[in-house]
Amino acid sequence: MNSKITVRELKPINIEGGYLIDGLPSVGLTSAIATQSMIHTTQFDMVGVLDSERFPPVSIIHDESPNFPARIFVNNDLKVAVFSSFLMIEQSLHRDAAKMMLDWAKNHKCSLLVSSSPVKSENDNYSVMGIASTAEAKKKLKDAGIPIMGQGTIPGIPGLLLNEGSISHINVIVLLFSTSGKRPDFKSSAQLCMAMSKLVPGTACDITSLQQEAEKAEHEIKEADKETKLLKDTMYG
Amino acid sequence: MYSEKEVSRDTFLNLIRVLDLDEGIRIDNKENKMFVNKSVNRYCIDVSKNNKDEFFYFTDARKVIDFLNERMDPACKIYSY
Repeated sequence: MNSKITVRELKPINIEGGYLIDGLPSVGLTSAIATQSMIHTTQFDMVGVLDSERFPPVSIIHDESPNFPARIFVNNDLKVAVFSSFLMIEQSLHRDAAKMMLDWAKNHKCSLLVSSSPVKSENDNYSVMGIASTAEAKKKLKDAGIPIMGQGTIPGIPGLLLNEGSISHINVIVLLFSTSGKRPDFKSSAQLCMAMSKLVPGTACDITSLQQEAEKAEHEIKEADKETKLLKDTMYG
Repeated sequence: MYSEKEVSRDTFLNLIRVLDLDEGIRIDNKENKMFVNKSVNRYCIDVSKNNKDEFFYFTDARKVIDFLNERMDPACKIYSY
């Protein structure tokens, strides 16, 4: 079966010099919830869809309308694009997803790709660190006052974005947020959005509505994931 | 590539008034950093110290300038990003 992920753009996109935010869930749901709530609190347009023969054949119904499970949203004013998915991306697709995102960012002349990953923490502190693929992206982290990870392992799509970004000189930043696994994902998501706004202007301005949207998004994403689990189990074995 | 650039204190005051949605301003003080962003209807200021953030919201540019003036070090660096 062909595992390649294809991009179908439906509207004109102009984010030259702007940013791409990875909201495809590969390690936990926090990044997906964060980007979903960002899309709702800031004015983003759905401009494309992601599809693959390996994606579960499913339509996500939202506000009485059918939706592809993985979509691209853009705010042309902010010059920000978001890759968002209701469904957990199967591990065998992580390499294709990372390559597709890097190619897309390059084609649209994005200056920075931002992804995120959870880090296990013993306590319940809200803190965010970062790691960058290039010297230029590392400077961006330092300038924003975000501590840089010294040692560790980044799994999934964020790890692949860093590796590929470092050898192809594409600016990638992965924000690492601590989680004890005891608190709801939406609280980490709101924290993540706030850290993103230090790198990407205009992405997160209203913490109250962001937290409300994150709580709603967590419910929607978990419901969609649960309802398609049986379908995915059948497909992926 | 990034369009981040250092701006003078005088330029910065004008920049606040005309701040666009896709622009941010970062003020590097000795003890903290302040990030100024704008949504459709208000300004958001994130005062970040030791990776802890505090948020302040204003609708009026004049109030943003007053708030920042009170908290900016004389030798702070200001960047538009």
